[in-house]
Amino acid sequence: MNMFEVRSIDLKQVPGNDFIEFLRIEIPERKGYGPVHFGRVRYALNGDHIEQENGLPMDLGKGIFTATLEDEELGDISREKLEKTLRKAAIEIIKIVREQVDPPSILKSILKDYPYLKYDKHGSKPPDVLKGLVKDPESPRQAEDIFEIARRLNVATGEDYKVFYGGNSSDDDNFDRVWTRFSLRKLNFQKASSNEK
Amino acid sequence: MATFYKGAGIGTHWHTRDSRRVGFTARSPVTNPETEVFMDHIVANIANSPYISLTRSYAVAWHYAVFNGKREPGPGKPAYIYEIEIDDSLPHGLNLLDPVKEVVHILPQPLRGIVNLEYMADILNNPASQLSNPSSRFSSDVERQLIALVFAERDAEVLVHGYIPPFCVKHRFEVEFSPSDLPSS
Repeated sequence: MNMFEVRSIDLKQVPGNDFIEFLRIEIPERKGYGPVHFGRVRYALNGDHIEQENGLPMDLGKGIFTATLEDEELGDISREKLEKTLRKAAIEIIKIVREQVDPPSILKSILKDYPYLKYDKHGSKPPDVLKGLVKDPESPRQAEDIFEIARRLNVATGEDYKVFYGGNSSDDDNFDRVWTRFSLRKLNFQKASSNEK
Repeated sequence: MATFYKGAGIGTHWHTRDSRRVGFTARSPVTNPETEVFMDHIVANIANSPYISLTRSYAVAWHYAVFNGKREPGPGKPAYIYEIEIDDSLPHGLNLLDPVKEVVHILPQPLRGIVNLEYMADILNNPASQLSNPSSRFSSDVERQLIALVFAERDAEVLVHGYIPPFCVKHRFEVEFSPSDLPSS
């Protein structure tokens, strides 16, 4: 059973220069625990668009590259210019990674598999409370989908979420099929105030 | 006797140099060991640091070895984890520095007793840029001190000032990665 999967995020919009072109970042994800705090940036050199065998490791928590190119790889670029390029690129890469791995983005991505649902941006308070809405009240639905969404969110983020769902119903309704909204609340949501008496 | 570890991913400095033969030296042993440099070492991995990072955790070293390299280690191309033992009577010129002790004493007094590193780690371990957070209520100096504390805690980090001689390096373990791998401790 694979405990890790590798998420690949496109970096072609990250500015490089004539010497180095940033292609993508690979981030290992430990199932149920979310991404590790390291990534490996794949790059091309000298404008040939060919991915190099090596990657450049990043500490995603610190937002920095933790290794650089060897002297023999530098070509015409100076060490100083390369390091400046890497520092600037690191900031842009982290912005992109944050957008891709933050819980709302992951939930939105999961919801693409459930066309009758949409992310409730106004009702959510990320990262602790994420909400979703049924798009069309006539669309068929089942409560099991919400639990599956919560499970997938757990696998991708490493966070446990408690599921709530609600809506208007009459006594004759099967509530599991007429709910109109749901919320996913992080289980350690109260952690910040756990010392309060 | 205290045991520490250091992970060396493929293509990194201590992967291409065998510290069992050459020991460990800092990138810039001549730089003055000041608190600001100490924090920069932890937060930004600066090149002109007189410190060497070790960890008290084999699992942390495993993550550094496996994920913090230029290539993924596999069969026939392992990453390394060094095991380092340092006697209570430290080798001459060697200092072990606990980041918590070093950084906490320069925090503003009211913060020292209320810093909740576990909660902050939850927030700060997310991918973060090196830019100061404009919505933070702390000054950028204090913010940097707190961030240094969190990262030091994250990595169970101990900093060494001075030269770690080869006789302190007891083992160099080879580690590989497959998607089903987990560190044993």
